[in-house]
Amino acid sequence: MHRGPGPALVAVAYYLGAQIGFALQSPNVPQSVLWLPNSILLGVLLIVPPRTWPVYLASCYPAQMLTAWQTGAPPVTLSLLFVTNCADATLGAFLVRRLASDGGPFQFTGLRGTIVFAALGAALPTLLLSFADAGISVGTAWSGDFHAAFVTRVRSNVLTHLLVVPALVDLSAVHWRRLRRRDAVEVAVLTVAVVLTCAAVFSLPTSSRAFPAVLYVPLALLLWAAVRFGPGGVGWSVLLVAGAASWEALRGHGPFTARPAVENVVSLQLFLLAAVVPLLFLAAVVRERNRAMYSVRTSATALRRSYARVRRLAGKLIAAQESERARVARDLHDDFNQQLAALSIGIGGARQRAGGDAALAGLLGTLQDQTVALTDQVRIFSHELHPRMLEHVGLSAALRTHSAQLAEHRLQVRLTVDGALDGLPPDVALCAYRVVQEALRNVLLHAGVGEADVSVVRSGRRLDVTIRDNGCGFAPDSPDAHGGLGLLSMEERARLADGACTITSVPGHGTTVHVYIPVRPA
Amino acid sequence: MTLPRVLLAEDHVQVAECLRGLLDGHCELVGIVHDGTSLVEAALHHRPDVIVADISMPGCDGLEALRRLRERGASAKVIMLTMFADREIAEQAIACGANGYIVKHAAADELLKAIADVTAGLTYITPFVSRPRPRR
Repeated sequence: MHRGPGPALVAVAYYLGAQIGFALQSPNVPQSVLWLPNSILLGVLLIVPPRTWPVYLASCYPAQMLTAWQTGAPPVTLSLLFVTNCADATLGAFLVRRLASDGGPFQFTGLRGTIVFAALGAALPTLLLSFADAGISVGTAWSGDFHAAFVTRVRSNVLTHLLVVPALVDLSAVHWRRLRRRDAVEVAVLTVAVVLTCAAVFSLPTSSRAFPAVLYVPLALLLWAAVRFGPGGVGWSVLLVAGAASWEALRGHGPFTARPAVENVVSLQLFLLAAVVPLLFLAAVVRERNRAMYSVRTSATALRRSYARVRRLAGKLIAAQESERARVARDLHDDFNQQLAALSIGIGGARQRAGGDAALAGLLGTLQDQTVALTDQVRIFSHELHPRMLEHVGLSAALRTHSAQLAEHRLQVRLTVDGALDGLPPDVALCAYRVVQEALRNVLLHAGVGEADVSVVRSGRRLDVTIRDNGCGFAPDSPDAHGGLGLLSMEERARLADGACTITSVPGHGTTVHVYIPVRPA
Repeated sequence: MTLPRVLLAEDHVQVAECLRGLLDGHCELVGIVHDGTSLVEAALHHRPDVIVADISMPGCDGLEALRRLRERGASAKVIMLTMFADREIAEQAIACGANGYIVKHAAADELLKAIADVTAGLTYITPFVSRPRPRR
């Protein structure tokens, strides 16, 4: 949101700009180093919505006529010149907004926009409209020299555009409520430093042997402005240099007093142009880089937040899955399977009472066998959902049972247990059990070997679980390595238990999964 | 012949009723309890010859109740009657002082034999424990 200044304020600025131009003008030279009014118009049109342009332009007309009345210039000439000035600013603002900001308010955000501004906002319209301007001046007998009028207007307008417009546009983008105190102080310090330095440099006698070397002294401050405050900072600082140099030149000091008056003005303008153009582009490049870095930092922060959210979600998913599986397993074991057991007992009792009826006894025997087989299936299913054994006989026995089951699938597991695993908190035991289960499942499915080593070591307040195989391994950095949910779930489970999971694997040389889980005293 | 005095600990009502029917006429049922803590109290109170106890029970489980009973010098023979056919659990039960271990779905065939065996001073482990698990 760029809030434009009010039309009245712009009119006042337009009038004051003209007064400053006259103040810095040498009495015997019909031109000023800077001509601020046209640049103020261009700067404002770059900021405010195009539909309000006519209001702003019209509001400056009284200021122009007031100036005419003060200087005794013919009102007709100044009215016509006002039209060329408006056309100049309108064409420049239209081109820059169209080509560098999609029609919206223009901002100095990077090098491309700054080049468009310098070429199509500052230079081209001035060149075109200065023909008309010089024609009007000569035609209304205000000036006798078309060439001089043309060249004078081009030089002072282009230079002033390059100084004033960046300063105005950047000023419009300042969020005053969010302005940091140290930035405001820095601008003030920079301003004072530029003024004092220029006052010192340009007040030296014209014949001083310090020239031209001393002219480079303000450059350090201008670079400071370029790097810290962008194109606006450059515009503002060079504007101060221009003011100080003109002011001292009027008083006969400094390097720009050595030649005939007109040449002195041209010389100062060229000096300022040579300074402002490279600094403006440098400032644009620095700003572009700062914006890119800010954007990268913002993306990195967003990415970190999003990663943290995903991890939290993964943790919740694992916890939710575990609790749901435990619930289903409990229902299967405590209710469904108990009813099957009751059924089996009932059928068994009936079979015993069938006595001599061999056919009935046989039928009941078959029914009982089927019930037993069904019970067994449900029991295995329930165990896979949630190892309730852990609660009754602990981690060590549960792992031995699991190893024995895997032996039936042709995977021999060598289990080593060191330290007391009794009394482990249920969540630690479950985490360790699930990691071993997942790692051995991976060995069974992917490693291509029939053996694996599992070691569980409890020492003090930590539990270390290591699952090692000599199978085909994999490249942990390959994109496929993290595609599997298994590896992720081991890492997430360890993390949820405030532990850590390390997976080491080399293609052809097996895989080692190590999980550390802290054991807090109950 | 005196019937053995049996205390039954089973939290599932339907299973408990089936077991009661199974024991009827073969044992003197001194009580049915539904959790481990009540089991310890009832066992110390009734001093049965045989305790038939489930492992999964609310609160204190069957194995824990068995440990407490043995700690307090209860000499009753104890048969664990459970859904778990895992050898590890059976071994643990024997280590805790159980004299028998049978799985519930085979109770109709094995419970009376297990009671007879343990009262005769033998240990009874259901053949289901060492039976290979069905492949999936």
